[in-house]
Parts: sequence; structure tokens; C-alpha cells
Amino acid sequence: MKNFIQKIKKNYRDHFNMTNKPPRSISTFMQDMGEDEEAFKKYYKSFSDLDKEIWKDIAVSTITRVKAEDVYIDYAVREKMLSFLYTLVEEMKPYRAFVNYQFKHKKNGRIGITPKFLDDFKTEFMSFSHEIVNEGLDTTEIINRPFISEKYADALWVEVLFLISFWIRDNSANGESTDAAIEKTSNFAFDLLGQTPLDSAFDLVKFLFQRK
Amino acid sequence: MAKEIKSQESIPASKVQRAARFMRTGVKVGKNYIRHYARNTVKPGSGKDQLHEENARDIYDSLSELKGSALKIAQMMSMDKNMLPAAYSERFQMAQYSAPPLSYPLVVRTFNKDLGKSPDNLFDTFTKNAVNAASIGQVHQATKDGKKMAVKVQYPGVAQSVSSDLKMVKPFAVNILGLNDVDVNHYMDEVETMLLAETDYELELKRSKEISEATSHIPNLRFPKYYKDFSSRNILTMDWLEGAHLDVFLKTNPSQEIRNKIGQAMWTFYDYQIHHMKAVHADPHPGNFILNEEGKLGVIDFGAVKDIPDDFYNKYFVLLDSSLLEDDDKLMKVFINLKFVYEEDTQKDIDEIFNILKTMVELLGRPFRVDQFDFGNDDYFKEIYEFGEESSKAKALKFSKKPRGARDGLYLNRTYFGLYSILNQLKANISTKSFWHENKFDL
Repeated sequence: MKNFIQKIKKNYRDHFNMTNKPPRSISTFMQDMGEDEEAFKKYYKSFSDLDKEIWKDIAVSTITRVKAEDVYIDYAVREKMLSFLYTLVEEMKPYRAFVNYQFKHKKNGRIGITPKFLDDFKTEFMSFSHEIVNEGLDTTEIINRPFISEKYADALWVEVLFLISFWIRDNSANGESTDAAIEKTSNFAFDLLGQTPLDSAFDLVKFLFQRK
Repeated sequence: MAKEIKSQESIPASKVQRAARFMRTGVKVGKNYIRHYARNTVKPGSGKDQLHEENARDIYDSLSELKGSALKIAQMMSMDKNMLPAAYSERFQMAQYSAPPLSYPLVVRTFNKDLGKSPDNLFDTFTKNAVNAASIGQVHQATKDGKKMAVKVQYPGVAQSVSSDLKMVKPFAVNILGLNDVDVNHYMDEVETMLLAETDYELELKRSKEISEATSHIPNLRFPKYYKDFSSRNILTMDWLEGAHLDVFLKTNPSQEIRNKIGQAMWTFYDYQIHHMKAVHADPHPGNFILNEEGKLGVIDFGAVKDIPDDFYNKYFVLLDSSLLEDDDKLMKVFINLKFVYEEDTQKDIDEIFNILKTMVELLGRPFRVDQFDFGNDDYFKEIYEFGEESSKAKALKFSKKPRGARDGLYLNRTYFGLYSILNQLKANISTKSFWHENKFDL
């Protein structure tokens, strides 16, 4: 059964890589595999279900790979996030056509809005994201701020969305621009999450205000 | 062309960011000037030096954030000491040692991409943090089978950003540093070519092999061995040389004998390259050398290797012929040949430029006209700096609409300035025998 699912996923991905678009229908797709529609429907209601699961797989294998590295435990949270992003790009590589198609045909074009097919991917990422944010709060690499702290994990999600869209449009040799973008956005994000001049400014203003 | 536009489209954020950084520098420098004038009205004569120092610090801070080619330019300007007030160049020399680092995950990624393995798998040990910053990358220390190695890793996309960085440095160089527009353009083309070559570590590996083999007979010179299997376009692995950079080395108070030994190795190394091989490691800034207490000179960077075309060599180095200093007509012919002077210049300009150049030729060629030269003699360097100040005020040069001096000369000037400046810091007293005498020149 597991093998069969793997085969479906692989053929589905290969179809994107060869034609840059999804199969015309479930039945033609299954016919090409020498199977019938019923076999597909046992596991997925539609292609959208399959899309979601492939994305989830990408997230799971990325996180697994990142955590399997020996150096991972010693990383600061900034490096953990960086490592996640670099690995994510690696994991997405075989799915380039699939990712391309999905992002170019998503319903809501705005950055920051999560498209449907990423629902499960996001769930996986958010648990990772919360984990590193909490760790960062413990090590004070990230600063606790009332009301805002709860949104930190979401901010990192926005970074992921941004970088996937960036990667799709990156034509540089070897994806060097994406590497640079990952480095820069992460530095920016974690500089904001850490102690910033704004914190001391806020503290000062609060102090002056209270003395009135 | 189309490709260039595309790649620029894909990194708009960084471009804007960098431009913003330069604006910030401009603003800060302006502020320093205001402070300077305010201070001067209160307390006249409080010194332009302090102003230069403040400006230099702000410019340096921005440049070091920029990394890549902009940092390289800061380094270059620090070489051409006489182009910059002393305070600027001191500050810029620091650029040779420090720049903000690459994250370790990116280092791992670069290894995986280029060599298919992570540094942990490739080496027995590998430092997570960089032990040193190179201008377009950083250096990690590694060990393998008991051998210590230095591993240079390049910033991603450096090659791409070279051109756009240079475009942004240009107005900055013209306005803030007060260089003339034509000179800067002239500079930039040459700099761009060399910078692009420097981003190619595969080329550097090849060059280092060629030069180290060709100069291996020179005493007290040592080169690291390079490891091809652990190198790629973005990664360069070589032996770790024990020793220290110039500034640290000098703090250990090495004896005159040791300093002469190192100075001699350096002189012969450069002389052999320029006058015999006609290809030179054109980047003699202190960060590229490792010195040790036995008086050995280690050379660790072969990024900027400049080929010297034969016809240029002959036109340029004929200037070392001391008989020229006694024959103004012949000397003028050489200057015209080198495009220092144009026949259509006004007589007044010609006179001014001629005098400046003649002084320069006399000054810079002085070590060649004797057998033994004491580079520890600060009077000589004071003369050079004073000459630099003087010539930077010369109207005919400052407002020149034409480039002065052949473009190939840029790196040679820089090489000699760098070499002399290091020899001066070493206070080396050495034999200045030159391979120049092997070559024949027609006057």
C-alpha cells in the first residue's frame, strides 16, 4: 500500500516535470499507470488532496533532515531557521515544476495569505517554528514582548512564503540569489526578534510618560 | 544584456538596501563636516585630521557591511595611500581583516552544492565560525589526517553583485573622496575585470600553482599547498600556514635581521614576477601574507593576478632608466606614449603635469637606482605622502577631462605602493637588485 502511494506521488511529480501542468483527469492519470480511478480514490478524493500531501511530505522530510544533522543541537535558533530554509530549497528541487505550477495558479496572489495546498505544510512548519521561537525566548536570543511575541512564529511563516516565491523566480546560476535572500531575510527577521533600539526607545518613552 | 536585467530584477531588495546604505554614509559624512565647521568656529584649527578620521570611520562602517566588491574597493583605496588622507587609509586598512560573517548553515549549503558533502564529512574537524574574513568570503580552519588547513568560502552571488556595487561606489568616490570623474571611470573598468577574476577560486588555484612553482627558488618564501579535491568555484582549501599577519608580527619585536630577511624575500618575489614573469600577484595588502619568527614569508592569496602586456611593460618601465631624468625631451616622449600627457593639452597643463610626473618617477624609482635601500627611512615616505598631497591639489590633474596614465598601470602602481608600504612597516633594509636590468628598452 505504501509503495502504491509512493508510486502515485512519483508519477504525479514526473508528470509535472515533463509537461509543466497537472494530468488532465484522475482517470487518464491512473490509466497511464495501468490502474483505474477507484485505486486512486481509495486514498485521495481529488488531486488537491494529493497536492496537500506532497507539500506535507516536503515539510516533514525537510525538518527530519535538518534535525538529523549533528551540528543541529549546537545551532542558535537563527541558524536552525537558516538550516531549515536551505534544506527546504534542496527538498523542493525535484518538485520545481510542481511548485512553480502551484504558486502560479494559486487563487489568492497576495504574499502572507496561505494558499490552500499549503495547509498541512504550514501545520508541520508551525510546530517547528513554535519550537525554535520558544527555544529562542529561553536563550534570550529572541525578546519577549507583550502581545507581539505570539505572532513571532507566524512572522517566520511569512518569511517561508516569501522565500518560496523568490525561489520560483530566481534565475541566477545555482540559485545563488535565493541563498543570499535566505541569509538576508533571516538576519533581518532575527534582528527584529532580538533586542532592537526600538525596545529601549519604547522603554524610555514609557518611563517618561509614567512620570508625568 | 537581457540576462543582466533579469538578474537585477531578481535581487531588487538588496540593491535598494545597498543604495540606502550609501545614502546613509553620505548623510553621516555631511554631518561630520558640519561638526567640523562648528568646531572650527569655536576653536579654530582643531584639525582636519579629526574630520578625516570621523569620515573614514563612517565610510568604513558602511563598506564593511557591504562586503564583496565595495569592501575590495575600500582595500584598494587603502593601498593607494597617496590618494587618500592618512586617516582614511588607516581606517580602510582594517577592512582587510574584518567583515560580518556568513552563517554556518550557508557554509554547509555551499559545501553540499559544490562538493556534495558537508564540511563535517569532508574534514576531521571544521570550525563553525570563521577564523578570518577575506574580502569576498571568509576563512575556516579545518583538519584532515592530522594536517591543519585553511578553507576559504565565498559569499553567494558575489560575482553577480560586482558590477552593481561598482556603479554605486562611483558617485561616492567622485563626491566624497573628491576624485576626478574620468579617472574613476578609467579605474572602474580595470577593477571590474580583476574583481571578476578574483571571484573565481578555480582560477586562483591554477594561478597559485603557476606562481608558486615559478618562484620556488627564492629563499625564505613559502606557499601553502592547495587541495583540488576540496576546492571548487566557491571553496578554496589550502594548508594552514603558522605565523601572523604583519601588524601582529611586528608587535613581537622581530630583530632587524629577521625583518630584512622577510623584506628581501618580498622584494625579490615581486621583482621576479613583474620583471621576469611579467605576471604579478597584484594585491600586496598585509592580509595576504603570513610572517613567522624564522623570517619566512608566506603568501596566501592569489586572487588578483595581473598579466603585464609586453608593449605596456616596455613603455612603462623604461621610466626606471635614470638617464631619462637628465633628458626632459625623452622623458616627455615617454609620458605621451603612456597617455599621461596629451599633445593637445595646453602648455600650462603640460608643464604642471610634467613636473608632477617627473617628481613621481624620481621618487618611486629611487630604490631602483641604488644597490641597497633602507625602506625604514621615514623621510623617504614622508616625501611620497607630501608629493601625494601636492599632486592631489594640482588643477591640471584634478579637473582633467581625459584619463591620465594607461589603464594597465593601475594595478602596477598599486602593487608598488603596497610593496613599499609593507617594506616601510617592516623597516627593512634590503638589496634592491632588480631583474629589470635583464630587459632591453628602446628610448
